[in-house]
Amino acid sequence: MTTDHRRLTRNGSLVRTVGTGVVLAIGAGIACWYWWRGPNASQETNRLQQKEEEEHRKEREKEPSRCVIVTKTLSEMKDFDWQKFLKDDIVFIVVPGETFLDPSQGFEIDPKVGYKIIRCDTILGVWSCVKSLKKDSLIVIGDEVEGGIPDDISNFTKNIRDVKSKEELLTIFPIPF
Amino acid sequence: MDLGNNEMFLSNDMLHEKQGHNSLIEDNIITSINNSRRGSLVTQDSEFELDDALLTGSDLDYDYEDELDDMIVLPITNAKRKQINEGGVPNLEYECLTTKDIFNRMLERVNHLQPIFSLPLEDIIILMQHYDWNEERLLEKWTDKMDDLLTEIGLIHENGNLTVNERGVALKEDFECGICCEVKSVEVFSLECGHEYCIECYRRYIQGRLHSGNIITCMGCSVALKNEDIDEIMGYESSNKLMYSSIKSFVSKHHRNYKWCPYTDCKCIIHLDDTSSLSEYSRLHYSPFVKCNALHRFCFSCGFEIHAPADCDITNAWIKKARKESENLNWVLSNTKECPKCSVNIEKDGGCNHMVCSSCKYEFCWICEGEWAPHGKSFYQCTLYKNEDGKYNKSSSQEANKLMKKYTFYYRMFNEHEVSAKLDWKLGQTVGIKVKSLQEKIGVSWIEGQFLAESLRTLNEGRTALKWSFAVAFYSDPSHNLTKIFVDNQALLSKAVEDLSELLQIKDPELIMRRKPDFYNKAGYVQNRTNALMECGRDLLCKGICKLTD
Amino acid sequence: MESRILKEYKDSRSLQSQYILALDPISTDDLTHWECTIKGPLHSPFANHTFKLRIDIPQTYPLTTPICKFEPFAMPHPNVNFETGEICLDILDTNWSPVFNIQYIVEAIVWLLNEPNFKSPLNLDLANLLRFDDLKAYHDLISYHLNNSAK
Repeated sequence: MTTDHRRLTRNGSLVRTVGTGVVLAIGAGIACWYWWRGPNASQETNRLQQKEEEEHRKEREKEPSRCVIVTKTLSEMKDFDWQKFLKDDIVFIVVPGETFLDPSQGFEIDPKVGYKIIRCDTILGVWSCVKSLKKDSLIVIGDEVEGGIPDDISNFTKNIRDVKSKEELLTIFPIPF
Repeated sequence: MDLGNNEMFLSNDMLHEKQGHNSLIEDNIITSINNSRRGSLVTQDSEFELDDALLTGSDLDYDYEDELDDMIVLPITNAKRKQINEGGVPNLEYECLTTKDIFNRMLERVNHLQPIFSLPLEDIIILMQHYDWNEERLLEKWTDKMDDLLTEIGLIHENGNLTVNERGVALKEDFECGICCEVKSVEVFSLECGHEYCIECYRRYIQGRLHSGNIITCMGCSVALKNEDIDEIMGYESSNKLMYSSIKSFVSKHHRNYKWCPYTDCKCIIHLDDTSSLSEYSRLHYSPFVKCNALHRFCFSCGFEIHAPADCDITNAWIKKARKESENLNWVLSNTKECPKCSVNIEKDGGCNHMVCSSCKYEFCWICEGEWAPHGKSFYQCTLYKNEDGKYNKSSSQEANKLMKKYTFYYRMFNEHEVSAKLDWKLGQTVGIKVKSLQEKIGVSWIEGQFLAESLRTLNEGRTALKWSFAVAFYSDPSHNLTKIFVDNQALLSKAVEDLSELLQIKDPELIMRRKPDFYNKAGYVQNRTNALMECGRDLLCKGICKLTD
Repeated sequence: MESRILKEYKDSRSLQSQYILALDPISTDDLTHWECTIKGPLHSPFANHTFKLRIDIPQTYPLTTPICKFEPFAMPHPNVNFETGEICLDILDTNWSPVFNIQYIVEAIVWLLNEPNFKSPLNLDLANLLRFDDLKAYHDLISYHLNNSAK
């Protein structure tokens, strides 16, 4: 009897240690799983956030910022409704000797957007402004600009559109019917 | 890359110069080194003819001024001329000055100007400091507008006739200083302008400006402080510090003609009057090497240590690249490596690359960790860079990788030799002790023992040349025949240098004496191979086989 | 230099200046960081605009100069770095003297707005406009940047 008892107790303690071992293992496994899944989960939320940000950015990028150099042809288009474009992200740089939406010629410009017209006294000043503004695209009738387009302008703007005719210009600035 | 002090060689060379018999001794040693088999007895005899009184150890206590005198008087001997005039470049005539000399020269120039300006010396010093010691500019401005100049510098106050306050220090009670806004009884300093500030503020202010080399003005206006004012405020001879930083700015403004010696704690300045020959030097891919009073040799163009066979462009490019790549290369710079066979840690303590593992007795080469046997027999295999993949691959990342590997190899070689040179120098410290023990135990005279020091110097030169030859090899076109010859030369010099290095590790004085002919032989061989390598390197540069590519 | 900064703080409480609208430390516990609001000088392209300056006082003040900066992307000026707001002014660098104080510095900066120096530029394009003597473009470009960033 005593031997049986002893065997039982020996077995009992054995069972107990095995049992605690198994519980511990399971606990460790769960902890590991949570820990592994944890950063992944936060990664997932991060990914979602990043996707949202990218979408926002793309929306913003759909409207590229533009820089237009106002030369002879443009300044002669007095009946054209340029003011409509002033609410976009756009800036007009007027070369020396030309006028553009000049108040003295009867134009009234909303002062809230009037700053988007920059008038220059020198052609070098025109290019300095372009370099300072760093807009996404530059629209210019290259033939009408004294000295042409400088080579290094491409370092300051992504897209250079050298317009060749008035018709092409109208495609860039469409007026809906 | 720091340039160690070659103090070890002071004794040897200085002695040569001082006696005026340098030609005799130097020629003797050179001929004896070059004669591979000649016994040393002949040279010993001729050495004994000299006056022994001059050769005592007390000559090691040296006075540079004597040295300077002697240097002017000594004729340029054939041996020296050979060293300077290798291959047709003009002699560089330069002089070495101490800071005191330059100081004196600057004061001389000030003295010259005194009759022109008729101002006190102190004021002229200030004027000169303002114009960076460029007298022409100063004189131009002076002839134009004298008074404006003086006001601008602060030598006269703008409202010249106002209350002329006493300049100096005075004690005031309950003084509120405008700078620190503290009210206390303190000494106060002011100039003629009348601006008074507490002396502690002035001290801090001057302390901050002493090292700029510019004139120090009153805190409240532009009236200049003279040297005596500075001394009065600071309490000791601080105006010297100002002069010293003036000297620094002077040297840096005239950097084409004046260069500091780059060795640590050496304050010598080399003055080269005529820089026209420098262009000839760079055309022939030589470097203008100069020597200062403390016998430190360095390149005048780039201010670094001697870098033959590489020229100054290669040296600069190499150093820039090394700085850029320093992180990648940390693993090659370690001084401890594992034995390739038994993996026990070994620390290198001598320059020789022939390692014997103390636990398993395996002999291997430190640089390539390969077996030593092939190194000992024929060419030094590890100087040859083996291009492992013969396939030509166009992808750029792989190209960059290959380039990186190639650079790593050359840099490793470069660095190994630099480290070895440093370790050799440490070893050199013990050579002095060895020579002494030779004298005491065997009764060898001091001059006889100089072969050790001379060998060490030859070894050092050889290693430096070898080190820089790797920079040249890196930038060379590997397919050209001349490059292959160059690499062969490197291998030969490597072996020669290792042999000599091994000899220098012998500790037993008797054995040293017995092997004295070997010392002469090996040192001579090293000298020959060094010269050959330098010539070959120069050839590579002149022929454009070695060139910088971005 | 605590008594000095304390004195300057006391003086700043009774400050009256045409162009300095505000000059205060960020917190009264820590007098080493100040913020200042200035008004653009009347006959300059900066008129009718206000600007914030950030002033940091180093430990070695007044022996060394305080560090002054505009807000980033707020000041288009030949001597101001548009992206960082750093100012290039001689008294803020080599010509500093311990007798200057914060108020003096700010006033000097206001003066600089009116009198730019195109010889030491931090904004190359604006400096070039001055160099080419294109005053109209200078004026309009500054206007553009000021109004654009105000959005």
